[in-house]
Amino acid sequence: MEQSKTDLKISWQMYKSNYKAFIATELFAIFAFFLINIALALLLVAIYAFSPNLEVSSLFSDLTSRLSASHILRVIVASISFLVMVGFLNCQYGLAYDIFSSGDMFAEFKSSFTYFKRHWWQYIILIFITGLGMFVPNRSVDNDPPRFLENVNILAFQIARFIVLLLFLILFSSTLPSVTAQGNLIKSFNESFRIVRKDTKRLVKTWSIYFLIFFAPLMIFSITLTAVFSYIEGTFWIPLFYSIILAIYLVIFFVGFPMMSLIATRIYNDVDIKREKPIVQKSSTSKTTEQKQNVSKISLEEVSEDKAG
Amino acid sequence: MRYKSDSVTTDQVHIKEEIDVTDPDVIPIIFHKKKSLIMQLLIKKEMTIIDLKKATKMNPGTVKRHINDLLKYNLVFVSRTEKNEFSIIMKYYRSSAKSFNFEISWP
Repeated sequence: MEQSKTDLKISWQMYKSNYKAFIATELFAIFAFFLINIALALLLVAIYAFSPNLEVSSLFSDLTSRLSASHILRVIVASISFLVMVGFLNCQYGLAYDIFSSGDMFAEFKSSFTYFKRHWWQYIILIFITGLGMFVPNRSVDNDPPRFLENVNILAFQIARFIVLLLFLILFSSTLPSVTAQGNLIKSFNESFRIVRKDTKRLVKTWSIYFLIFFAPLMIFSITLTAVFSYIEGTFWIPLFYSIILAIYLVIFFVGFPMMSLIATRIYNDVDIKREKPIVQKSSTSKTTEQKQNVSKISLEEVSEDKAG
Repeated sequence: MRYKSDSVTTDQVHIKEEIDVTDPDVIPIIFHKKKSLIMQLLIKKEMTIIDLKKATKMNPGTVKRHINDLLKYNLVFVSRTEKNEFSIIMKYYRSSAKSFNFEISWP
């Protein structure tokens, strides 16, 4: 239990001293999401404007029998911008790497761009393979108001969903710090499973406490909302419930997410496992001189020697 | 022109007593107000960026950029890298010498 407490305590301290870089990364990810949406929409408008004879439905001949062209285009635009947002959000693992592993013990927002350039596709693939993408707030609670008659099923579904999320977190949380550190997607799963085998108890305890702090309030609130939704009415209670949901999501997004990356990176750094060889040497900033690279190589060698000792 | 430290308190890593600087590009680097402050601290003892941040009250990003400039001209070097008790890797920087001698002639 002491180890889990330390994991959370150290991660919280690191978050407090570097919160600006993490929050800036998240805000930029949201900004990029909207910017790409607008840019792609404008591009489509421009295509229509310059090619009046173009029929979009002809591009999707099979699909349009079931879906309208406008719907398909909206899905494409939303998917691209969502993927970019998810990729950029996970650059927080790069910031956590800078704090815990680069040797300089701090993170800067601009490093996010370096990590996005290096790992964007790996972050996106990992997020979807491992199911950690479910942690991206998706308004599932307020998008889908539960109905009182289906209470039992919805409750069971919500509880099951949170348990599955916790399991995914325990099993795959180390893949993202691993891919940031050594750069290989498949090897990141190897390292993650090694960590799970080596320190299962610690992972279960740490992530359960994390879950209790950040996701249990959401779970309790969504279950409460499920039970009382059909009874509440009026201009006071409904806005109040939705404001609370919004507040919980904001806490998860601006504190829970960065904490997740910091905890995962700390555990990844701390557990004594056989490490995969990094594909590229990491440096905390984008500008690297030959001399700096030599220095970081020497440093890494020194660290691995320490570990072996 | 001679730049000499007042005192050398710790000397865990052996550094040269003095270095002759002939590269004129180093002059604006070493006489930069903030960089010279960092150099003075690193002549006395090895420090991490966070230690330097506390000592100079500068932003860690700014300290890092100054350190990168100093590294580029071999005025400082990474003296050691170690993992602390919380598994955080810490990089220590140290000045390359206790004093730097400049020989300037112009034009």
